[in-house]
Amino acid sequence: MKGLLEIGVVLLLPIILLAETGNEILKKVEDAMNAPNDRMASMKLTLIDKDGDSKVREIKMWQLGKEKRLIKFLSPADVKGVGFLVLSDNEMYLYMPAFKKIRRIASHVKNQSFMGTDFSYNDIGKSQYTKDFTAETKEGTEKEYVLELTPRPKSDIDYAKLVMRVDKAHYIPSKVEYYNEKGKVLKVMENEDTEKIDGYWTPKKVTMKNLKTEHKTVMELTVVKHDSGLKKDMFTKRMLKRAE
Amino acid sequence: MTKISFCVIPTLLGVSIVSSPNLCMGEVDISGNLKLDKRFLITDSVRIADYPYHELNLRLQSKPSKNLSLYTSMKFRLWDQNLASSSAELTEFSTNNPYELFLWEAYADLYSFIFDELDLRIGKQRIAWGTADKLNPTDNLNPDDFSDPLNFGEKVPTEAVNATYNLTDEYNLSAVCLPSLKPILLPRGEFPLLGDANALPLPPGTNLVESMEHLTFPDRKPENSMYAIKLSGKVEEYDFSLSYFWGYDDVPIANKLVVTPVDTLGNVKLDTYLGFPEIRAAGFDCAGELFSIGLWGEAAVFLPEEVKMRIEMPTGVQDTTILSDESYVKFTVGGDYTSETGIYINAQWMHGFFTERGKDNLEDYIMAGIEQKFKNDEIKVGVAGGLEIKDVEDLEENYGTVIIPEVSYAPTDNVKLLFGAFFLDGKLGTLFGGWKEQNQLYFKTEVSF
Repeated sequence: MKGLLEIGVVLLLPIILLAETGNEILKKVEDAMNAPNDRMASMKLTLIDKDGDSKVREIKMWQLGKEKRLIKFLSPADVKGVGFLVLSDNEMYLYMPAFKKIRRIASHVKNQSFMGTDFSYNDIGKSQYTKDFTAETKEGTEKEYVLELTPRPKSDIDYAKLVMRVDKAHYIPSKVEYYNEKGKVLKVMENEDTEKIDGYWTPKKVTMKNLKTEHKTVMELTVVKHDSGLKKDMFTKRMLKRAE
Repeated sequence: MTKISFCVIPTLLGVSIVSSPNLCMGEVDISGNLKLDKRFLITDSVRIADYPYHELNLRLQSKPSKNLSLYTSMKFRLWDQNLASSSAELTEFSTNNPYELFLWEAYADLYSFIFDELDLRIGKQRIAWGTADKLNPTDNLNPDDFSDPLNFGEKVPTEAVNATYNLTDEYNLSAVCLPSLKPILLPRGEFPLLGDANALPLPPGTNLVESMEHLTFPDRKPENSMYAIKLSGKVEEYDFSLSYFWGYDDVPIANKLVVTPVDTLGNVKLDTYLGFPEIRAAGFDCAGELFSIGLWGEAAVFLPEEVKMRIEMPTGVQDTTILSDESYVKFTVGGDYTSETGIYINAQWMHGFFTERGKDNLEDYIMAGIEQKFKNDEIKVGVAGGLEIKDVEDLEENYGTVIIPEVSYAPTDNVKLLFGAFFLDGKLGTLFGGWKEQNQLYFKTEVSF
């Protein structure tokens, strides 16, 4: 019996050694999402309420590395020209053209709705999971890993946990569920139409649904360009207020 | 929004700009909004306030080339007032529908001008300095706009050359030249904003029958131009700026009163002469956060020119100092926070209102607001309040208050309906106490295009 156990352990050892931990998979997710040096995208955000009524916002986004992002609203008219700059986790700025003023935004807004959408400032402003979460693997499928993400003790994440389904083919999450302390799902994000653009796996459609309000926001990438050589000086207050 | 392509941008802008071969190729974005504003004064009886106005804003913007951007905005204002005093005046449309059309902003942005790091903005522009929320003591380049007196912190764009040199990604140096002084814009109709210049104790037995004001501007000479510089940067996690302003106060101050008898019955006339004193202001502001709470602070040390007022009465001449050349400090400190449930709280302590001048004339104002959005920002419910403290040691007799509840609803994109009220109270001699006749309900509509 002992011999059989030893044989079993020896046979399983490569699998045990090869099996990725949750944190390793999460790191790969983060790397896949941030693989390009930079990204430039035009997006259409459709806000749909529970009755099916919709509103459309168009934005343009530039991203450099994992942290730096510049977003400008192109429509509708009442938000046209509004700009949002993320330099780091704790350094965000909003430009309101009506006031000709750049305003520093403190991190208390991170978990709030971004301009009426179902995405929070955190969802829009960052794509780093490992800094804020630890991950454990759960039973997945042949094609997908399932990770349970728990916020690190000092992170400013309002959710109790996230459950993330990750496509084994490219490590881009296909679905993320956001839970509260009571174990109830608050929001669900789904990535669809993931395809290789400029050599990088890119979801072209992202849907965030708020299960409480039954309101959802569909973000569609209409134009995407990777590694176009964006420079650091693009992500400054100077560029935030510059006309598009 | 509409986009058109045509060759009249320079005319529309009304500014002289360096000619560009691509100028006539640029697309012009046309956007704007319509703001309708109706207010009912409710202090004693309900009546319609006469200083609010409906406004059509039209904005044109074009970017003919990578390093050139042109912007202009025009305002068309219509007041709901009847100004006719005789039937003959009823023939004029404008008498009973007073309106104004003016160029609000008109400027050209020249990016990377001569040097890659230098940006230049030339023309009529708003230069917003300071990190506080609307209550900015360092924001002195544009005159105050009190055309809507209860919308604090608004400014009028003025002609300027504004050069910003980006020393690094985080540090920049701005230098501004404003060729001439533009004064404060006051509300139409009766609104007690600056006090009564005629509140002069007249000699016993005299009776004021006529009053006239004479406003004198600084000579329109290059040597009377106004200048300002500002260094902005970041230390640790805090943004900061240091600024200095050389110029004129936008609020006129009386420097001479002449009381002249008009008959032998004791009737007199009063001539009030007003001028704009020179002023210097050294400013500092910063913004950052602590424990996720947004924090800001802003202060300006004002170095005013001494203003002496000469009072000429039949009984003799008297000189009195109305504004000392002693420096004084105005400041605002504040913070904001959003709770997990989405309740936004904002609080500020302001020392020195926009129109207050002189070390001994500055009052303290605690302003705070709370708001929450519902239905993905479609509905916003909030209440703001302010406590004015004129004398903290005798607060019961020296306070003023304002409470502003407001509900806004955006039924669809580009449309916003607002319903709210101003409740003002306070003791005589306080700012808010002086406005308590202005308690009002308001209904506003904003449509953007």
